[in-house]
Amino acid sequence: MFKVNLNKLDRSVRGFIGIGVTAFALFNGDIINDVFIEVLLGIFGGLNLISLVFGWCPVYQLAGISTKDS
Amino acid sequence: MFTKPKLTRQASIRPRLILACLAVSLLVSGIYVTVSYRLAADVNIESERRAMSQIISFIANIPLSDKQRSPLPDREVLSQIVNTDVASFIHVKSTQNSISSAFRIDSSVSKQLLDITASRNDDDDAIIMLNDRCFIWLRMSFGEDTITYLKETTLLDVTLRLVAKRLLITSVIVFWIAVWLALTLSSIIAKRAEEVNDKLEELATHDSLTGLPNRLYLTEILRSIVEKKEDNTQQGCLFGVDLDKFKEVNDSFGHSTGDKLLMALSQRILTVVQPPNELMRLGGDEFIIWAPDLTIAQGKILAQELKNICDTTIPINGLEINTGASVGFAHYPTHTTSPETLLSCADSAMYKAKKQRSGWEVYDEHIVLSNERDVMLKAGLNEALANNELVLHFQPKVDMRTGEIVSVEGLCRWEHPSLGLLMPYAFIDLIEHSGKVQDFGRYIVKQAICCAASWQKEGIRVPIAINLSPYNLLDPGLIAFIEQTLTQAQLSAHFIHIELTENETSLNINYIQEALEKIRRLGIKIAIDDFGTGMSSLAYLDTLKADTIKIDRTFISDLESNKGHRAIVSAAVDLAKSFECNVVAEGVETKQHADLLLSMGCHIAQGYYYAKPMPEKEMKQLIETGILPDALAL
Repeated sequence: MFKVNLNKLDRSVRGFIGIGVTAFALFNGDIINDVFIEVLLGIFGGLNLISLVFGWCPVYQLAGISTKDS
Repeated sequence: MFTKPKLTRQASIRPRLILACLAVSLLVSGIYVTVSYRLAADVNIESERRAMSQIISFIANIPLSDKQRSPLPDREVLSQIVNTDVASFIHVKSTQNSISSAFRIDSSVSKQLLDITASRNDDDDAIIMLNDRCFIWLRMSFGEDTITYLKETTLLDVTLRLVAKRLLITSVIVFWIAVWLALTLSSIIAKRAEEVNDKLEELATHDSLTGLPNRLYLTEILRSIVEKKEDNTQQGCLFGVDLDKFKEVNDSFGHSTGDKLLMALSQRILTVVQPPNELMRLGGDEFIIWAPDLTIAQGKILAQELKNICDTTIPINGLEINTGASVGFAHYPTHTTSPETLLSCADSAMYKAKKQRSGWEVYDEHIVLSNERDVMLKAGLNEALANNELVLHFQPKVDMRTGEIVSVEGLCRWEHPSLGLLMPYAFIDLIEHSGKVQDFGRYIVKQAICCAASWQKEGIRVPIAINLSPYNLLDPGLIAFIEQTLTQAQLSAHFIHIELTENETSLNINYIQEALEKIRRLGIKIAIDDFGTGMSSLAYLDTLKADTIKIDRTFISDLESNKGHRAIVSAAVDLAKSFECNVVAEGVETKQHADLLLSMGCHIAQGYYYAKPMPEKEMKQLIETGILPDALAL
């Protein structure tokens, strides 16, 4: 299922964003003050972390595209 | 090397779709930010005003004893009620007097503010902007008293900050989702479009029957040559292949057999046309092969191979069919430096091969020159008929015994404005293949009749013979036309003879026979021209009931040396006698010819020995003076 469809750059950029966003969602202190937005950010960051871990992007899979060097 | 041509396509829709999705997400975010901001601001203002209205009510409800002293409480009292940390201003207006109290506001500013509130209705905008400061105001009336409360507020800024922070984050997420959506959508759409485009390109550039590339594909190839014209090293051969008897196959066995033949043949041709060479079908039985990097010598080898492969039998529906093909090719850039004319060069070569039944031919400039002349003549044909550029020249038929001119043969000449006087062989073929053969026949008939009529008026009573081909006799209105023209010219039909060339034997002989019969009934005499060379001379003689036979010049030219020809002429003379026909010898060029013919019993001759074909004026002169005695055989 998790067929790798991201190349190194794509994967690392997503990983970077994923870690950043998840961390921000968890430890933003009083900046956001809104659980809903924090949850949204969490999901968003989580998806990027999945991309980092598996090198797989669900949207790419749906769209049938891949940045992985063939 | 030539790269495979591709149809030009529009740029991918992906960037546009992504851009559109981003624009939409931006727009949506913008709308939501605005609406949320206004909503939050309204809610805050409402709650603020509610708090202010409580303060005003409190002030209004101060016990009466105090109120009589002053409608406004002391500043000390007020400072406990209102928040003195922010600039605020309270104004009470009663019937007797008005009093106000301001915290952290200059008197000039407070006056301005009071003026502004005075000009507003109670339900107007609750916010007053003055000198970049933002005030919220409320006015309430209690009996005769009107209390106005103004308070500086940073509410909007706070609201904006709150809203902005959250919306910024959600906007980023929305943005991200929009990009993903755009990517997904564009990929799906682009994929579908690509599939459809591929299919369309396949359909547009390939022939549906054989699956071979078609004319459009060829156009693309030729275009790619144009684009790479600067590259001097490139060369190639373009072959035209046309099946010789495809029409017969179609007519005899039906189109489905023809289609099967084309499919089978294209497969066979493909065995000798290997990539990078490309086989295309332009339609019908016309194939084109583009062979890049082929020299003329290599092209000749391939042409021979193509000819051989097309000359094999193909089994279809239990039949062994062999159509044979003619191949012509032209080399780029030797034969033409213009890719556009390459195809017509290859075609010319192919037509030459077809004409000469030589199998294959290389392009030769002479073909085009004569073709160009033919095209020019064909185009000028209409005008020639309208402007009477086609004229009759005459050659006499002479009674060799007396030198008397018994009749003249009218021979067509084209007085072409730029090419000069053209002989029939230069244009008769064109006429017969131009669809004007019947117009031309009538034209000649008319010319001859008019000429004979004018001669008669001048006292020259010599019949004029004209040549008609069986094609002309297929003209259903010809006989009526002849009759009508004769009547108009008041000419007796005896002054017109018709010589029938018998080169087309496949035409409907019954119909021709019928037409000739009708013509004879008008009183016109019929002669068979070029007797002895046609396929069915004897049958003609019997069925067409000719009045005269004209022995072909080929038998006459070597009469003195060729025993066989002498025998043929002698037999023809005897045959004519038996059929009670006159006999005329064509192509009599020497005295020996004339003597021999006379000795065989042939008395009438036509040929250079007596006179060449000449214009009407000279002919009339000759008829008047007669043939010179020294030219007579006697």
